Amino acid sequence: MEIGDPQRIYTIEPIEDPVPHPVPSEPDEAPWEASPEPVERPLAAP
Amino acid sequence: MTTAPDFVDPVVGWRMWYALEDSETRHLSSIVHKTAWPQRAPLVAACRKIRFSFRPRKRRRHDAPAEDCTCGIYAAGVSMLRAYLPAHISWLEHPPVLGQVSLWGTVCEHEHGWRATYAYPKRLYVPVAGIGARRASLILDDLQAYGVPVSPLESATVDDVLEELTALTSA
Repeated sequence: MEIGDPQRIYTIEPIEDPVPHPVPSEPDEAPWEASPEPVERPLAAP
Repeated sequence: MTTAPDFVDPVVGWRMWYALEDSETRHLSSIVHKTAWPQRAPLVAACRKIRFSFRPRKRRRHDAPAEDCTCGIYAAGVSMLRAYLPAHISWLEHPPVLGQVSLWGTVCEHEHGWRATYAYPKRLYVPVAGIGARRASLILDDLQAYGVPVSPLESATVDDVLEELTALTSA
């Protein structure tokens, strides 16, 4: 490619990656389960 | 010791590739060195120039692009694409792909373009006139693997293609 004479040189470090990355697929949502009811225990006698 | 970069936004230039057919799929290939452009990873420049010199220092390999060499990944302004396109797009040996490319790393700026260390396509345009609907569809589909927008160009002549590109990118 003919791009003419050099003019200047510099460095570029992009903040955002110019390479697109695939969006990770969301894992299947686990069905919601109610937490078990706390079991009431009688207080032990002192 | 590390040094701060001069800029944080990639340079965006234009270039041309071939859509090379490789068994089942099609991928971007540089037109001069036939380098396959990776998908979802930047292309990294390497100097391929062989220097014959009796002075070892002159023979030493260098990082690309070097200021006093011609190595690096090239891109230019849209008007420079004309030099690589025949009057009719269908005269080319392989289907061409035109597009914008992001360049970063060390960048050598020239009068009409740039040479850089890293490159990745930003947007791709496939001239589809004369390559057949099925082949065009396969190319358009396979280039989606780069994860950037891929659009067909309907024009058949170089003048019309460049006009269409200019209109699309200035819209």
